[in-house]
Amino acid sequence: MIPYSDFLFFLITAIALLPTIILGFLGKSSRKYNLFITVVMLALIFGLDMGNYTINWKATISILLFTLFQVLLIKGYHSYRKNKNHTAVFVIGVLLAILPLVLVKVLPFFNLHIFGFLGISYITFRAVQMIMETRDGMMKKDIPITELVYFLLFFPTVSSGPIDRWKRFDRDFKKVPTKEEYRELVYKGINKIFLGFLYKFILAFLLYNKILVFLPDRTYGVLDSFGGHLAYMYVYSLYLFFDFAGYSCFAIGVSYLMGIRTPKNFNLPFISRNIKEFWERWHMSLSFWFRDYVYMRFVFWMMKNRWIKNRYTVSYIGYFLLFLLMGAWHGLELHYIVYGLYQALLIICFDVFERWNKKKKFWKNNKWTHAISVFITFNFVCFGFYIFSGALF
Amino acid sequence: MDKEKVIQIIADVCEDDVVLEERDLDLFQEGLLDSFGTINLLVAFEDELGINVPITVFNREEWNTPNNIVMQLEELA
Amino acid sequence: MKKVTFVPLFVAVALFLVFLFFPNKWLEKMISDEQVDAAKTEMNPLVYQGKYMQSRMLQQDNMMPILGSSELVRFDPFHPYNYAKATDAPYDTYLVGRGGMQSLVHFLNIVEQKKNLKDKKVVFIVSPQWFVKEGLDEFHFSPNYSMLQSYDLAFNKEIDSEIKKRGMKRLLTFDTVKRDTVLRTMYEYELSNHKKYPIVGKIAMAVGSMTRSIQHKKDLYYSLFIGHNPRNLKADDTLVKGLTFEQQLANAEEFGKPRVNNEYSIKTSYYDKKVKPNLQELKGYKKDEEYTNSPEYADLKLVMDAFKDVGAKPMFVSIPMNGKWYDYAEFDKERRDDYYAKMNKFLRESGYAYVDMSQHENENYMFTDTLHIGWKGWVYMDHAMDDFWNHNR
Repeated sequence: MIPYSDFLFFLITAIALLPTIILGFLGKSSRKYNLFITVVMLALIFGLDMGNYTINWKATISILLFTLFQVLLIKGYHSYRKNKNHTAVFVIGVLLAILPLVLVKVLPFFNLHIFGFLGISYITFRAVQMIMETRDGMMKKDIPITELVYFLLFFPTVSSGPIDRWKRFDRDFKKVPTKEEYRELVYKGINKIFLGFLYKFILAFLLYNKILVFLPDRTYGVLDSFGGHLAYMYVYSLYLFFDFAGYSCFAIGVSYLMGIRTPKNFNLPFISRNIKEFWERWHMSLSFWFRDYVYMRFVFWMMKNRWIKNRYTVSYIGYFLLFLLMGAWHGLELHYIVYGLYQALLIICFDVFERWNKKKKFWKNNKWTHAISVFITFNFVCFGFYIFSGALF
Repeated sequence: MDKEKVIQIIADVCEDDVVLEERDLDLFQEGLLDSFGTINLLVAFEDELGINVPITVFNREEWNTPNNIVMQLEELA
Repeated sequence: MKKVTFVPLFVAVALFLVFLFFPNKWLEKMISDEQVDAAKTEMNPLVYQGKYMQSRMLQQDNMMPILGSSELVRFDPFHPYNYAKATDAPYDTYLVGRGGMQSLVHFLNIVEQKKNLKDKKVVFIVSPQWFVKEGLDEFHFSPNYSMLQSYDLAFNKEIDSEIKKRGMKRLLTFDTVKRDTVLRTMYEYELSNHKKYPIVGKIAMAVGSMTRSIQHKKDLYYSLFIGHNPRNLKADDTLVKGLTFEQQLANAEEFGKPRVNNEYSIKTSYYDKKVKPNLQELKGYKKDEEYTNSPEYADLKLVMDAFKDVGAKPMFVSIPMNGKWYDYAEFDKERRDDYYAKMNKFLRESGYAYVDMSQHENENYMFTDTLHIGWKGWVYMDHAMDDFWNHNR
């Protein structure tokens, strides 16, 4: 069963969350109950084959083994890190954590479909984060297994994020909200969920079914080939936003009802003034993950070792690494890789311009330049999604 | 730990002397510091102060102003 | 902190419930006869995909609907609707058809109107272009498919079980249907004689029955907005009223002459815009097509069987291809004759009334573009309809 895809899922979730909400309004802890419904919901999400209403053993066993593997890895590294701190062990730990994901992405190219399930990448992102933060000495205290598994497999966000941070999650998990706090959580949560309905089931649905299906080249002569592709570029970009932002709203809204303030994933991305700002507003939890755990680490490591003199060169290599990885993560098809390269180039060109402009003061800051910047950024972004869509090649 | 030295390092990395005056300025919101600047800052702390700040420890909520950075460094050192 | 209030939520739920439980009878009273009249020619998909409007039309005296596809939108003074009005024909008609509405789409509509179609005469226009090798594809099916009618099919106890199952089986080959978990489950449940998923099937039927009543409500709400945008019917009574068949044919020819600037009998506006600029590429563009081997034949058989089951008296009109244009497209005469022969046999063996217009394929002003009949084509059909109405009355 795919989360948030149909009415049935919402109905089941609503029924499952009823006791949580009642406990919350009474100011009581619903932690144990939430753990219980997470198990039930995970069983539905992973274990139920909606094709013929049987148990999907392959997915069930895959997810169980995968989780066990990640938990052992995290716990193992955590206890190792208490006394020692070799870089090699850390690197091996990270590589092991991403190994299953890499296999899932690569094996199909050799016609091997051994395992793979919904949400494997998002669980991996959380696991890698645990190892990285352990390495940084952020995990002073013990990591309780139940909480770790709950964090990795928290059902509202298990399939496609947003990617929460342990420290933040842990704080919400430990704290029982007061009646007043919980009222506000429910208020915000329900708001989010209804915003999600608007985004995903109304706007994205209409954009897709009323416009996108006829693009780029089935316009019955209304648009010529170029016009069709141009329209496709913009409509696809908007569709992508409303569909995914809508999904994220559901995930955040349901998290709120369960007392977890999952971070937001989108913050009006299309009003960004430049591409850097865009990546701070679009799929934020993912881009922050890549920023913190790929780009910053890489740049820091390169600078510390002083292998390359020019700091900006290091930064640019870092951007290429970040966006190539992000592109490859979407899939190993050519258009995703090109999409990654395109984004890296955009951000580097902007960085060069920004530094040049700081000295020359060519592009002043007023409401006109602001509007023009937003317009230009929007178009570059849409062209990026056009590459991403695969319609170009 | 030399507080003024820390502030000077921040000002150097941000390439802006406003940091020396306004010590409660949010460096990220003002656009003075980004992820690249953060790295430069961490490298500088390590080189010039001998304090090792892991990347994940340096979060944008608690290390956002010159004064906060000084405070956090004092806790670490 | 924002003020937390749940009043808007309760108001929204209350309003929604009012909408949901607003009595159907009251809604029906709000739909005027003028709206129903206008809906006959509004060419509104909400009429085709709905139930209520058509049932009101069918309950009128002497109603003989025309089911077809995109040709029906091409109004001119000889269009059957205009003709029937101008000549005070003893029957009235309404139109169901737009691009992509092929046999299977009409099948759903026919069984939906089972009660109202009993002993009714119906005109069914068959287009050769439906009979491509792949038959009806997802792209043409999906925008024309009616959720209401397909849900009703699962609960339709009045039509013959074998026909119903054949329809379901065919519908299940489309993604639009497969994606709808409830609908798919209900169909599979029925197809397996309630053996497959005995429990889930019952649940699906219960959920489906609710969905169905919401769909009916929706049909009524939509019907409130139908019939307010009358089409320009381009009627001109003087060209048909009180004239003989020969005079009308001559008028149609006179009418078409100034409107055509080419040897293919294609309307000038259409020719200059769509054909002339691409004339080179269009040469021989149908040289590999043939219309004698297509799943559409089985779909048409389904329509014929459905007509029999509901007790309607249909007349099938077999539209020819635009001979001159098809020569240019290199869909040669031999293959065209193969189709005409096969269709003629198919219609003859059905035992229903039918009109074969294939002998007119090379006549000027028979078509208005590369495939749609008009002008003289309509005059032939008008008289076929008159004959059909007066015959064995």
